[in-house]
Amino acid sequence: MLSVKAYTLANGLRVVWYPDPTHSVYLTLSTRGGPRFEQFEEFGISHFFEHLCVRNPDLLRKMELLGDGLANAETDLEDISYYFSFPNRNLLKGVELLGQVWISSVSAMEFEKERAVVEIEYVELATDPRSVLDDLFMGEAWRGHPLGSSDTILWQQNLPNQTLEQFRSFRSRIQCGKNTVLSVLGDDVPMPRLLEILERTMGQLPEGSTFKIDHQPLPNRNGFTVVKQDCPFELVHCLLGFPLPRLKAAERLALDAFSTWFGDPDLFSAVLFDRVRNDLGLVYGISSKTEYFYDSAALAVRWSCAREDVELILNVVMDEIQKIARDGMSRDEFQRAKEILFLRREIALEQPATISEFLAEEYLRFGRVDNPADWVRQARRTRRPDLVHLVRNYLTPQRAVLALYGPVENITPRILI
Amino acid sequence: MDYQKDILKNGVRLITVPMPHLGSVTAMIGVGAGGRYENTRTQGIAHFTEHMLFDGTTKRPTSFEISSELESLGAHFNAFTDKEITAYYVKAEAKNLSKVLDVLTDMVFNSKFDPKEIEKESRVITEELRMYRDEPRTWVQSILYDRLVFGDTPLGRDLIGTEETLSSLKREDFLAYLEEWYRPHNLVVTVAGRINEKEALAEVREVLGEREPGEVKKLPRFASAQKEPQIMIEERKTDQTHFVLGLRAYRRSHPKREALEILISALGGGMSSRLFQEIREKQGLAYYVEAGWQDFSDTGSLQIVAGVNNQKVNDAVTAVLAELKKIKDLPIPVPELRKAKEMLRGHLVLGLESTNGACSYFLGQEVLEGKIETPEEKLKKIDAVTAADVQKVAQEIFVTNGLNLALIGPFSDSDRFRRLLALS
Repeated sequence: MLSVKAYTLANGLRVVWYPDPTHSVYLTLSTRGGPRFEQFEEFGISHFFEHLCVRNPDLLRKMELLGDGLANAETDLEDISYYFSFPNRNLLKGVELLGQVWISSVSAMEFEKERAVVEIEYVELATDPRSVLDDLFMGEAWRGHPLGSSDTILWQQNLPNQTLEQFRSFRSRIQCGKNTVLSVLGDDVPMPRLLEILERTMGQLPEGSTFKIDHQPLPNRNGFTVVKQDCPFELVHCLLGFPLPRLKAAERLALDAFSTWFGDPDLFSAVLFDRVRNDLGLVYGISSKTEYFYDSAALAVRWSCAREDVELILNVVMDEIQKIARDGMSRDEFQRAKEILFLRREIALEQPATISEFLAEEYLRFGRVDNPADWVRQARRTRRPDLVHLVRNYLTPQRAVLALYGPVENITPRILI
Repeated sequence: MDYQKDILKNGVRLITVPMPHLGSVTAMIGVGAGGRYENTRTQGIAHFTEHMLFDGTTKRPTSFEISSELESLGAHFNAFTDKEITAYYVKAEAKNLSKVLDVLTDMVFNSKFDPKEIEKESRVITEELRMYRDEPRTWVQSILYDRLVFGDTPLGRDLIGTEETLSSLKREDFLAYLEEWYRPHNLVVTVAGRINEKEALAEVREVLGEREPGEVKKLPRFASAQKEPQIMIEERKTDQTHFVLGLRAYRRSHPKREALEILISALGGGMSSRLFQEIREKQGLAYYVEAGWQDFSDTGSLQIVAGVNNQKVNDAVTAVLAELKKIKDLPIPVPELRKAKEMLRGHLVLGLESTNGACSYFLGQEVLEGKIETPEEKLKKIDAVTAADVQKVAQEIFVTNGLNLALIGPFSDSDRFRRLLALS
């Protein structure tokens, strides 16, 4: 069986390699960072950092000449990640360039140019339903918590004030060996040579320290809350979210199994899709997703619908959740939930970019990572009592937050069950 | 990459692609029909049919029975509809091929088209239509631009239909549509993955071999009468302006296809492309800017899409046109040509790493062109393109009277943009 191997550079940067046989090699570079770790006057700097750290057109051009190069980058609430891929034959050259891009300095001119780009991105994000709903939900459910204090509007307002010095100071804290993980997925990888290259490039970064997590309790919830933002769309975009405390590994597994069975976006047999789309014909899509943070977690259900259907769909979703809370889950249903999670994960094994991301982000978060094949098998160890306990205790009307974006000025949906 | 093509007696074509190193198999059924095969009354029926085929058969009466049977195997399934093709596929563990083919063919050929389900699905698609209307980036690219460039022809009509046509389609319309286009000569089945080709052929013969043979009629060709730049504006109070600046280009199987693909890659493929570097990185005018090609059997269109600050639309359009002129006037340097080729190669190779990617590659060609070019042949053609070939293509396509600008933003006056549209 294939196994994950871990290495550490002299400056503490961790490299994790999984020799999966693919034609190309996939790499994910992750650092602990993101809005959670920003001071008030820095809000948005992580996202700006994400842009600036790969702002080197010459090196990017050379990288693309080798094949795919930088596929994408992403700033989450607690980490910043970059995704790369290279054909096997160009891997070492690609890693050399990756290392150079990552440590290259940013001039005042480049800083200003990227500020203009980010400014345009914020115009788009400020009206993007997914981003607006995330901000509304997090701002309400994590009020007073580091995860709920920053949003796109604050980033947008802060952008003109951000300085090159501020960026450099943030960079010196975040971009250090101990705060970074690189995952490598692919077979035939000459690891000794790859590590040599990394020592020469990323190894130049200071050792620094891992960003500390200031664990904070989840704010108390005192009943169902609706938060909304009006805009002249045809449809109302909805997110029904439930904040959860920090979960143990077995509970995370149970929540994943529940969410997959309840509303996996790729499953036509998911409960929500079957009820709301197939039976009622009210939406084009409806799905649920879990999110895990260092000290809390979330389950969010999303859909878009006509204004007059918001309350009905809200109650259908709550009704399905309440059935589990009230009656538990039958053995057959639970077996199905568990098996679907197993099979979804098994299919994910054939998606190298997904596995590369999983390896880097898990290793960064927990300081260790399961073998992807074990991660698949774990699904079968999900326990029914864990799942029912989570639903009963956390997916309750009292903890629910409904975020709405669209023509919502005069509507206030209620939970009627 | 090896493949085998077989033709059943009734005309159904089967492509098998062995990929023994993978654990999965994908089976895909493609039909040579789509939005272009509709009339004004049935507009949207191709896509609507795609939805209906998931809604239950005699053997599996509900959509849940279909989905739970497949998803209990860990299978992933879906479908897509375009203007000239519709396809349905299931990806699963290789050992489940028989089951997969059984469900897939049952869905595609034995759907009930229950009137109640039709009514319900019409509401779902109407929601889908409204969702797209709420997304200016999607709407300008998928709907507005096609209306501008292809006008009141089947290619110019919205693939998804209108609220009126969606609510008026009846069971008989669907049955007539299937009878006309879902006929053996118009069907291709592709199976890729860890398969035994002989067994796969036998499986397909068993489930499709008995269908009555039947050919389909040919469609009229599209002919453009454009003589000057065209503009279509949809005024909306958006914070950002989304536009498509396009030009008439080659049909799908044009001999200069690879040179056009390289031109597009150099212009707007990736973060190091000319447009991205100039418009976004140097001038900071757009958050996204990229180039693409819409290819049909008899025509095509090269498109540059961008999202820009409302105050800078004129600057952005002018800057895009300046890049088109530049690449038309001077051959692209050798390193840039090499980079564009590498990108095309990389995308082709990465796309073929999965069984569904391989299925799409082979099925698309067979359905749309009736012939297959292997990845190796395609790569050879890419390698053979010279900088002069690319410049020649730019000179043929980048002409003032082929320009089209579709735009969504807070504007009503098209003259302010018309003045900008020149490439001489």
